Amino acid sequence: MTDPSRRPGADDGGRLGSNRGPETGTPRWVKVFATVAGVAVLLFVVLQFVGGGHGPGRHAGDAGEHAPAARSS
Amino acid sequence: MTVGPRLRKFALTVHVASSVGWLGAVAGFLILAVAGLAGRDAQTVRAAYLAMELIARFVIVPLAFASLLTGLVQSLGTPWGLFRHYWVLVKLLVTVFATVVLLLQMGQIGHLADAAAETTVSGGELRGARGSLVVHASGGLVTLLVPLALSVYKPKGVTRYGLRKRREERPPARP
Repeated sequence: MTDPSRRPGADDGGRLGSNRGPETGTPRWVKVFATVAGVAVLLFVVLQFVGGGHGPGRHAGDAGEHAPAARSS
Repeated sequence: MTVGPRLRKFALTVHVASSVGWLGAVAGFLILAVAGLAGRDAQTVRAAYLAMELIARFVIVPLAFASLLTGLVQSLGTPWGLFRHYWVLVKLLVTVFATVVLLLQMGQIGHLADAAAETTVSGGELRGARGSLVVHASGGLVTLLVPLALSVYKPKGVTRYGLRKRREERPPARP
């Protein structure tokens, strides 16, 4: 998860060590990531309703499609 | 809490191996899922679902837990911490999310493998479940690229908790 070969704040030009600049507030990349993740979750929820649900319950209905005892050689 | 450099290197090696191995195993799983969905030969389709269950149970799930656990050791055992930097926190959340989705999919994977073991699974049979595995494996592959990229780029950003900890650990200014 973390690479100890790089120390926290090692390449931030010393800015992270002060109380100025990028140290305060949520970084832009986190906001972008959160937005994309939120849209993905929203899409997932919408597809659940449109597609008639998700998960084992939905796929259990497929069991009826299963051709019985069509064992191959 | 920090660990020694030798243990840290070892944990990092295991973490990289398990994380990249997880990604590769999901890529292999995806190919089998596509072969199972689109394959015309009944034996190939059957073999694909049987192999997918084995890969998921004995390769992907163990690698997912190894990646998660070694990641926790790495973050808690180094100055990065687990909640101090946004990239570490986001990586943890994505890894936990991917692991939970994987575990939720195991029932469906087992169900398809059981069906494949008993009969031939081809044509329109279980198409919904078979298509779902392709979608989930594709999504999983994309999702697992996020922690990989975060580990390499380590984008800037310290959480409020990280800032507070940094201030606490900073030595008091000389008078």
